[in-house]
This record gives sequence, structure tokens and C-alpha cells, in this order.
Amino acid sequence: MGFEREGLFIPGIISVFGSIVLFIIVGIIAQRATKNSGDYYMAGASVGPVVNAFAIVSSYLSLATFIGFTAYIWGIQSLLAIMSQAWMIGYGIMIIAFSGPIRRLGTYTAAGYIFERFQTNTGRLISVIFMIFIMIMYAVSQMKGIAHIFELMLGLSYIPALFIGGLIVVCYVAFGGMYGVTWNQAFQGFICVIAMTLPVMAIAKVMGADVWLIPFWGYGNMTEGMVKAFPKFFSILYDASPKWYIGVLFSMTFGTMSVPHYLSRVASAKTIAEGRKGFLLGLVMIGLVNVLTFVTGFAGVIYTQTQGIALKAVQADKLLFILSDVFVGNWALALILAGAIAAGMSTIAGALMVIGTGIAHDIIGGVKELTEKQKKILAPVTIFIAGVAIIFVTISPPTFALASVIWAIIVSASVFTAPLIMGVWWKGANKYGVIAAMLVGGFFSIAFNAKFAHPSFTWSPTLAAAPYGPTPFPGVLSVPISFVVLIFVSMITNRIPSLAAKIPREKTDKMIEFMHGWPDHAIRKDSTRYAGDTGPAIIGIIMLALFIFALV
Amino acid sequence: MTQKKSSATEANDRLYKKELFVVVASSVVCMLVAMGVLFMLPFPGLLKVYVWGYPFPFWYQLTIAYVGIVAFIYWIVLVMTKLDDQKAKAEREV
Repeated sequence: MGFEREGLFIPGIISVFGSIVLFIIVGIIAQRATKNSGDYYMAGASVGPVVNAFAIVSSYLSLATFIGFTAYIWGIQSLLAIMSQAWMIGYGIMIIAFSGPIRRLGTYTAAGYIFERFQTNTGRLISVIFMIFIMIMYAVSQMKGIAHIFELMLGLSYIPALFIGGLIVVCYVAFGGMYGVTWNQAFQGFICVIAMTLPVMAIAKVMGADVWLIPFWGYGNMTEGMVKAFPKFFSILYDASPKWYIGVLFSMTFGTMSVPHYLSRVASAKTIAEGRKGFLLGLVMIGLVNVLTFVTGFAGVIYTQTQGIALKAVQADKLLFILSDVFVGNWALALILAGAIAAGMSTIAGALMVIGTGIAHDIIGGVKELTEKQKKILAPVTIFIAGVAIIFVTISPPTFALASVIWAIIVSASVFTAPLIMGVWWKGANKYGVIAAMLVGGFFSIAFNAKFAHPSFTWSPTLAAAPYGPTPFPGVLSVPISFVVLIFVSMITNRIPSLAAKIPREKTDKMIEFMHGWPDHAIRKDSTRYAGDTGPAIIGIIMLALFIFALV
Repeated sequence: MTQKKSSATEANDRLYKKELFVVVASSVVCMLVAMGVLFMLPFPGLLKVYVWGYPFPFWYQLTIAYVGIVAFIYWIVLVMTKLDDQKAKAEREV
């Protein structure tokens, strides 16, 4: 089944282009309040909890998650419940463990944090390269979703839809779409939540849910039909191995904590207390979106099973569109398309911004000092070139749009989470440990996850077929090993005088106390807070045991 | 003087240990909830336990892994905000 519409879908064109015009208007209004780069990226750290919460939802809810959760439930059934809850809870740990310290440090990217905390340019360069890599894979899945939107809207096949939709989005982002990032993300998050909730209510009503007004709670009466149509829908949980569950924890929960554009939301709140409140509110809405997508995923499985529809896996990302069209009609499909474009725009803007500033500022700027004027020209040009490159990579897309998002999150978990957690909570973590951990974690996550990320990555069939469950989760290997390397390399190098002498411990020790909110007068030079090796050693041994468990 | 220095340091260290305990314990609780279904694998009978019409794990997701964990984190955020206030008022360590 292809689900092609014939000709132009006028309500969809109105909703999608209407949304884009609104984003530009919000951007122009926000731009008037922009005085410096801090205002530009983080709304001058002046955002209240509600606006920040919607911006957080927008960061989380990419186009790949907006349409991809429904598709993935169709693909792996209730296993997605485990993945989505692990994903959401990662935000919770981020709030608890390092939202406050990172906010006090004043950095809004993982690379900025690595440079500030560990005082290493090499570390910053490595982290920028990984960030660009992660964001390219993140953007690939968004492009696939954009292509599906334009397929439906304009009645085109995949490739022309990809190029038309992709170029419109890339031009929007490169030549103006980055204005007022935080405000636009908040607005896009709001549209996403509305555009998801109303059609899901309508789908639940038509499918026969008891309490369709609270759709995520009121479709229990459909369970019997599901078990009859698809007996393994729930019991598949018992087929997954413990390694898969642990892999999901390390991949999704640890990944969420460190994904660059999630982390940046910590910095846009007025105060740390308001930032935490914003994250909590965001968490409520993220959870809401998760449970709402279960309704559509549930409906999608029942619909395809009972109607005998043989949907190809690569087309499953259209399932949310199909359900809206089949069960509700034009208004629901138009609303879903508006939500999808909002989700896609915000994520592609975020991803391309990381790529553009990474190349222009950190890589080229690191080799040759650039003037402000050169930077202003270089940033949109690199964004445009990167965007076009991503369009070409998406010609052969991943089977599920969500797959490359998951891949990016796994790489992020393996590269950035250990430096974040250990760097915030342990003074002994140093640049040697961090550089080694990023390289080892990055290698393991990429090597053991290649085929999952993209069908063209089949250079290593042995590694690509790594048996970690229904879907591969190499986080079970790569995240523990990055902790092990960071902890033990730091411990060893701290004890080698010639290397230890190159670490500005006095400066970084004071920085850590400051990050935790200790006032200047309460910080002693010989303070032992956050300095003990016992805790990190225990974590290192546990992680080593988990790494060995994953290998056996 | 020595007494004063020692008591300020001790009070601040107590605050630090409390903060460390709250962060470690709550992060572990969050991780256990995220992996909750793993611990239910020895109990396949849960698939027959229905709440609001849903079998496990959907009711687990709606209750413990969503509303439950958000409420827990809210409580922890309140505790951490109080700890931050106490740290801001920490006495001078000489």
C-alpha cells in the first residue's frame, strides 16, 4: 500500500505554508528584541517556565518522533513503550544531575562545556566533530519526514518531494529561520502539542475508544481487539533480552541527557529554579505526547491487521497521516501536516545551526581567525551546503525515520554523557580521560550501530548484525566503556606528575564548586568536596562489569 | 577561631553530602523506573493484570513511568531548590 493522494491537497498546503509564514513572523518579532548573540541563541536567558517548557517539547518532538513513534509501534509494538519512557526519564535525570551546574557555567553546547570544564582545545574539536556528525544523522530523519509531507501535499513521488520540501526548509533555516530560536521553538512546540492532541482524539473516537476526550487513558476497551488481531503486541516485551533493556537505558536515558540541542534549553531560563520548573512542565507534555502516540500506534496496528493491509516498513512513517485521512478526513490530515512541519522546522533549524556554527566558528575559526563579517557570511553558507548534503543523503533514507534519531542519541550518549556526569560531579575528571572516553565511546557506538543508522552503512556485516535484541542497542557496550575509560584514564594521569602538571586543577576545582552554587567565600583552596576517588572508582567497576556482561 | 572554622566546614560538608545523596539516590530511582519492565520479566502473569482495560506495561507507563516519576522529580526539585538556598547562605570557610 502506498497511500498516494492524487493532485494538490489544498488544506494541507494552506496549513503547512500558513505555519511557515507564522514562524517567519514570530522570528521577525523576536529578532527585534535581539541585542547580542546570547539573545540570539537563548532569548537572553529571560524565558519563563511555560515558554521554556514548549521549547523543550519542540526540541524533543522532532518530525521523526512526531510521525515516527506511530510507525515504530507498528514495527516493534509495545517495546516502544520502554524506549519512550527511558527517553523521557533521561530529561528527569538531566534536571536533577546537571541542569543547575550547566546553567551556572553559562555554556549552551556540549562542545562549549567540554572546553570550559576541561580546558582543552583538542577535546573541543573532537566534540564539535561528533556534534556535527550527530546532527547530520538527526537531520536525515527530519528530511525523510519533510519529503513525506510534500509527497502528500503536492501529490508527488518521494524524490521530487524530497528536493522541493528539503530546499524550502533549508533556505528558510539558512536565510532567516534562525531568528528568535527559543521563541520560535516554543511556538512550534505549542503547535505540535495541539496538532497531535486534536486528531488523536478524533481517531480514538472513530476507532471506538470509551473515553476519547482523554484519549491516552480511554482506549482500554480496544485491548481485546488488539490481542485477537495481534497476539504478540504486549507479550513481545517478554521476548526481549535483559541486554536489550540495559542497552535501552544506556542508549535512550543517557542519550537524552546529553543531546546538544536538548542541553541548550537549560540555558534559556531566567533562573535555575524557573529552568527546573520549565523542564518539569516540559516533562509532563513530553509524557503526554508519548502516551498520545501510543493511541495512534495502537490504532495503526489494529487497522493494518484487521484490514489485512500490507504496509511496507519504509512507508510506515506515513501511518499517522493515513489514520488521520482514513478515520477523520481533511481537517485532521491538514492539522497533522502543520504539526509535522512545525516539528521538522524546529529540529532541522537546531541541527543545521549546530552544524553551521560548528564548521564556521569551531573548525574554520580554529584554523584561521575570522572577522565578524566573515562569520556572518560563512554561517548561512555552511548551513546551506550542509542542508543540501543532507538532502542528498536522504535520497536513500533509513527504513524508519526514528531510526537515525535513535542512532544519533546513542552516539551522543556514548560521547558526551560520561564527560557531563563525571565532569560535573568529580574534580578528578581531566582532559586526558575525556578525550580518550569520547574517542572510545564514539568508536564503539558508531561501529556497532552502522546498519541500524542508515541502509547504506553496510560496510561491516558482522558488526551490523550485532545481536542486541529486536533492534540493536550498542549503548549497552559503548556507554559503559566510555565511563570506564574516562574514570581510569583520569585516575592514572592524575598520578603521573608530568601530565598532571598540564591540568589547571586550581581553576577547574574552583569552577566545579562554583557550578554547584557555592559562594566564593565558602570555597577553600583545599576543599575536598567533589574530589574523592572512591565514588568514581565504584562507578568505574560497575560500568566495567556491565561492559563485560554486554560482551559475553 | 578554630572552633568557628571547623563548624562552618562541617556544616558545609554536611550540606554537600546531603546534596550528593539526593542526586545519586534520585537518579538511581529514575533509572530503575525507566528499566522497570526488565524487573517484571520473571512475572509473565502480569500480562493478565488489567488496569483501566490495559495490560502491563501500558498501565505501568501511564502510572509509575509517567505521572509517578514526574511527581517524584517535582519533589526532588523542591528539595534541591532548598539545598541551593542553603548553599547560597553557606558560612565562610577559612
